Amino acid sequence: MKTTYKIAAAGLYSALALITFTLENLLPPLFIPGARLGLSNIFILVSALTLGSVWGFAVLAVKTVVGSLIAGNFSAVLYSLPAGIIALLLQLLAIRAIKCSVIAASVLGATVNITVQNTVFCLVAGAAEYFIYLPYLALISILSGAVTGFVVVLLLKKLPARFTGLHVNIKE
Amino acid sequence: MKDNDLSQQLKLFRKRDVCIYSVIVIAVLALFLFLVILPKDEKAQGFEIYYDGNKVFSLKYSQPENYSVYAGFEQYIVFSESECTVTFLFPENTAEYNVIAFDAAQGSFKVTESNCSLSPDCVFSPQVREKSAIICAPHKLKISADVGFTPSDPVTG
Repeated sequence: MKTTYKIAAAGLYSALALITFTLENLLPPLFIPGARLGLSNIFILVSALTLGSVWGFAVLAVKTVVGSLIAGNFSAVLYSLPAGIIALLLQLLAIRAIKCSVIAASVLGATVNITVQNTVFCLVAGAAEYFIYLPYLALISILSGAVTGFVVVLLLKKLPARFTGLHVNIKE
Repeated sequence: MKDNDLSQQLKLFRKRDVCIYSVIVIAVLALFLFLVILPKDEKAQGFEIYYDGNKVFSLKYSQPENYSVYAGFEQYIVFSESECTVTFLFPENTAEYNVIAFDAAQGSFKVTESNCSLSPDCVFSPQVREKSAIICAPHKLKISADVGFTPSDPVTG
């Protein structure tokens, strides 16, 4: 894939990630403050798998920084960005090294993401009381990771090969 | 080959997934055990409001009329005994605020209104009755349940 194509595709994935992140932020959280489906992670994982790991991290950085500015909560970058980086690293490790399914990697990424976010948030805000929400957030993240992983699988199967650079041939 | 590897990983389930799911399940169970099941429940006797790490307000449910506003923050706190609310005005921009409603009989508090951001998570936080807190990160605000009241240099209301 040419670099100019990758830049354009990364821009498109960044825009889609930002749109879903902003729309999600307008909705109330899932049962617990801070709990969301994390649909923007769909486009981060798709960009990492189709364009390359570096582009995936670039889309993640754009979504986190610009998304926080749009949401009016720039302090969220402090805990969202490290959590996102660690989660994406582990997802790519799980997919490329352990060779597990994309859905399992997505569940792992979502759980790690929310754990690191909650931990950093408690340390930065000096609110150890917030750890009480961590088990419930982890439980919700399993569901959100499964949903986003399933959507990533659907996208990679259904999008044309000339767009993803993948020639997927699944024998059911 | 990269494409074939990814083809295999686009299946809904692979045997290797068992390792990942086992680790996650064990971790979540451990979190529930150590953070939910084992800790003792401590009923709140009141609540305290902190702005940027500084205590600005404290109240005891047994005597809500004897609340304390700490020096330097008097103009940022609006207490309403009739409505059982405390309005915190954000010092960096007093047009922004958080409204904390409390129930002295039930011993609980909750943030009912805020214009901190597009999605005010503080408003969606559940009511606090035990040792817990509600955080409003954009306003650097922490409303913490007080399980042991210790006033320090207050300006009482």
